[in-house]
Amino acid sequence: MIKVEINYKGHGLDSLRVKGHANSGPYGHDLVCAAVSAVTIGALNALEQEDAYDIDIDEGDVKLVANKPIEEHDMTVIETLIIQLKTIETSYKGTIDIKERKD
Amino acid sequence: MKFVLNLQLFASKKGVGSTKNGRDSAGRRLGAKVGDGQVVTAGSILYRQRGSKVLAGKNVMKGGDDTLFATIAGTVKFERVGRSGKQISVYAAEAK
Repeated sequence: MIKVEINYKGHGLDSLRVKGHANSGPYGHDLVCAAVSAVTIGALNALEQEDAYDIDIDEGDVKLVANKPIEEHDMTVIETLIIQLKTIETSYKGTIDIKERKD
Repeated sequence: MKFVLNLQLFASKKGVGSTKNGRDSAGRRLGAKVGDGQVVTAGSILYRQRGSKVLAGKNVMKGGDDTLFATIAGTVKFERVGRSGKQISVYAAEAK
């Protein structure tokens, strides 16, 4: 199961992590994995504030930590990513689990 | 583009199928519990087994779980029976 952890601090995002394996199909045919990979990497490429994040991408583990306040454009991109992940979670129960924490 | 997309980034390990096996029970520590020529007391366990790999010889009896145990105090002897059979006997120590 893919676990998504979203931590907010104050009014903005503090960190976002997508980790795990979807296991919804054999390697090369895992639909949920492909969907999560596409929306996650797509969102990271859409971010504009180059120096505002520490981003680590490993196999089955994507970490984004915001080290500056996030501006409107990037916040929209991140919120879109979260909505897309929730959409996948709704349609493919048991393959992805999203947790949001507010400080 | 800063990041290259790999559509199988969150896939399970490459090419590794899952297995329904992988379970086993703990070893039962069967086999001989004494050596040949060893002196034992009555009631001592001599051999743990399943079935009758080793037969009960003189002064030795077989328990409910096929365990062989001594019925008298004495010296243990591992003996052959027929072509491939084995048995354990206990001989009382000679009176001095």
